[in-house]
Amino acid sequence: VPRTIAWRLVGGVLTLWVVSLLVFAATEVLPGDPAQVILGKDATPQGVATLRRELGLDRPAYTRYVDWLSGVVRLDFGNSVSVGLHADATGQLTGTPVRSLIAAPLRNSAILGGVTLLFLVPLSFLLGTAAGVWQGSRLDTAMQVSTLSLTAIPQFVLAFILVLLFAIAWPVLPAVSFHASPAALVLPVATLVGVSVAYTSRMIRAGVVQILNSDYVRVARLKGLPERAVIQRHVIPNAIAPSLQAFALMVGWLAGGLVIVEAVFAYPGIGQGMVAAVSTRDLPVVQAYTLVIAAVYVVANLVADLLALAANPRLRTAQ
Amino acid sequence: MRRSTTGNDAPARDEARRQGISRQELLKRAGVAGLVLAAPGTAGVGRASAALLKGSAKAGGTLRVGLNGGTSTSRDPQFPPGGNLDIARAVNLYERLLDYDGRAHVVPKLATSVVPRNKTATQWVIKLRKGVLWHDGSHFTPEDVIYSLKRIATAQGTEGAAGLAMIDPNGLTKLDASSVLVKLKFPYSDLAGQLALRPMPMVKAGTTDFTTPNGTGPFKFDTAVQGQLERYVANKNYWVTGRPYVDAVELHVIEDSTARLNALIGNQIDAMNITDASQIPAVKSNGALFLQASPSDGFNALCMNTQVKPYNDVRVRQAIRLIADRPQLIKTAMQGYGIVLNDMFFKYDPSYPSSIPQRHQDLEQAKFLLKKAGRPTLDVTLDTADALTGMLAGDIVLSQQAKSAGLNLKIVRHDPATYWTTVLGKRPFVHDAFSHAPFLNMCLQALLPSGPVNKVDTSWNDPKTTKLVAEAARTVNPKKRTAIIHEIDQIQWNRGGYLIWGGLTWFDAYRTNVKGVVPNAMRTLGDFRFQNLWLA
Repeated sequence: VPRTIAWRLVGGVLTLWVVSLLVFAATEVLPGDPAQVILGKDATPQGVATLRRELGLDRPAYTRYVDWLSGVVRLDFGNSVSVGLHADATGQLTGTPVRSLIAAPLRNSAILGGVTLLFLVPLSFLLGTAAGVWQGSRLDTAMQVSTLSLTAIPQFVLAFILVLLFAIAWPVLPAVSFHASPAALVLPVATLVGVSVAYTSRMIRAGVVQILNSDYVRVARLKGLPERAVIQRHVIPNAIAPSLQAFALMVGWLAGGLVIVEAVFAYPGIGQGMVAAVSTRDLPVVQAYTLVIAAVYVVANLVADLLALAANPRLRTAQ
Repeated sequence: MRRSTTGNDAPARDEARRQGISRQELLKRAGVAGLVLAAPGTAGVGRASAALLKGSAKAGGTLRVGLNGGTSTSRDPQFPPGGNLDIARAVNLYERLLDYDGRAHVVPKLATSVVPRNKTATQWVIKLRKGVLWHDGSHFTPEDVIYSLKRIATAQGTEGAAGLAMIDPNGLTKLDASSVLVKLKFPYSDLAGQLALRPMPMVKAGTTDFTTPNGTGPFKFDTAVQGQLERYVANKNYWVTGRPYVDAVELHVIEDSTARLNALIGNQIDAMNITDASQIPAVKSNGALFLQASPSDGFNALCMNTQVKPYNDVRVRQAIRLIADRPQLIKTAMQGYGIVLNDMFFKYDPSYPSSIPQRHQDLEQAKFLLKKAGRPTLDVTLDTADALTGMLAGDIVLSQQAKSAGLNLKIVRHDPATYWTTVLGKRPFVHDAFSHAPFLNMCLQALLPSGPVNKVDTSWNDPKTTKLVAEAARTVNPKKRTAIIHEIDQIQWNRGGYLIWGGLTWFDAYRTNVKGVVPNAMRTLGDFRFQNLWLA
């Protein structure tokens, strides 16, 4: 087992390294560069060349990549090439350190993602277990239909519907979320929960249904345990483990999936930071965000795998 | 077009109201402007006094503005702006020697006058406004002006350095406590127009660190949250009495246009710029909001390379210009907003020749010209991008109009992000766009063989134009200069390579409690001049 875990860890690090290469290559082939974007359409070729030199963008791509990667290992993401430009002590044009640029958006996104999970997990258990236990009942069908239709609505449409209802028609909540305050979080969290609850609750429902049909539940019922006790003692504990995997994957999805919801609500998280950085070709910032998102995704998957190992002993020996 | 800024003295009135000056000073200034800045239109400021005294503006409150373009490249106001946020910060915290008002006319700001010292326009004296204080409490001095101009002129490769190319950085001298002598490297009669441009802010002598901005502007820097919010507070020492009205301004960065409108409707902001013209009906139908459409001095221009076939034939150029149904283009491509233009630059410029007749669509004449040019049916390609409101839409409408004259106009669409830098100059028929620039400067850029804009637009190489531009640059007398400019314009109208059919329009939305909003030909959100707005 430790060997399996070690291999997964090595795989995770390798994935991150490949991601860093891909991100770097992708941003390299993006048309335009920060110098061009900053100087705009009235730029003279000399002006662009000068700024590019001052920003160190004229150095070959591999040199910049190696420099950047060696910094990343020390958790130093370098400096922005378009935000807060100023001449430093040596006269070199430098931007704001990427670390300080991404800190607040990361924290805000973590809050949004965290609060979403806080509601998503219990709600999914509640809905999933109920639907599983009363499988085929009207309650089950109603829940299936409503959660599925919520999933079928694209995130931004659901967000707009919520804004229209609760910020404009009946103005009780802010339409856009300038800060991570409780009132400002309601609609973005509702949107995220709305689009993901169908998936997670169905995972739990499937687990519950499977367990309800298992031999030990039949035995428990046969020995005369009341249904309530069967579900509390035998079904729910056994349904938790496999569904934890679903939630771990959901964390990975949230890391990237926040982007749209954040844009719709002008929420100051990684989505907004990322869009701004791409539009100005702020390479170091784009790379830092992408790596962080990838890291969250990789770690979440790793955790999901480990949870799966823990939940299903057969996988441990499947090597 | 619903509102017009020309032939209407509202902007002059508003400019005066905005400056917040006494009747006496107003009349004095009107004289100064007429005399010194040689801008015929500015004399009209004198008419404003009556409206000015009626003022019922209320002080106080926080004005919350939502805008896109929130990437802040630098807090150095002279640095190329990352977006609207940088421009807004620069004009609210800093000021220039001269400035453009809402009609794109030059008006005095930190300088009260800029006058030539000799007949050849190579030496100029800048008189400074007295009693102006920096935000740190120190006095605005000639040393600050010398430092700032030198800094701008020597910042290699920047727009500012290009704009002050005529200034000799070592020829700046303090004459007395309130005047500076400027020596030029070559004659330039419109120094005033250059000094009023965006990248010409005055900063305190010796400033190299702009983290905490120290300007003379109506607002002082308060706080900022990177990429989200900047907050400025009223400068109690501002030299214009009674300005600004509001206690503070908050600039909220909301890149998504729908989120911006939602924030406005939800009363989280008071004003916003509209970047998506499809929002206009929603703003107009909402009783809590109003729309401000500002016909601007910027314009769309289709550029034919006059050195390349078939555009080197003047008859082909004339035919293409005659094909455009300009009112129709404005109606369909610009949602009906915008002014019809006449193949010449900057309608709001005081030296614009309104005597030249408006060119109308004439398909028969266009067909006739094409036939005479030996091309009764002609295939041409226009390289364009969906980079500005009405840009691609206008080109498509034009290609429809062209069909009826036997011209097959093929549209090739490029990536908007890189269109300006990679397509312009590589293809013979392209779409360029301009915001306001001083006319003479535009001539140097776009009509001289050496001009960088000319190289990518029309490759205009006309000895007569070159001679006239040089003459205009030497001519200090405003009347004589205007006459020369009219000649340059007439040549463009007759034979030029530009098809200029309509002006760009800025759209902004405000909540109805925001007062003092007037059209502004320069930029969106009234060129960000928040000192003139007040909250009811």
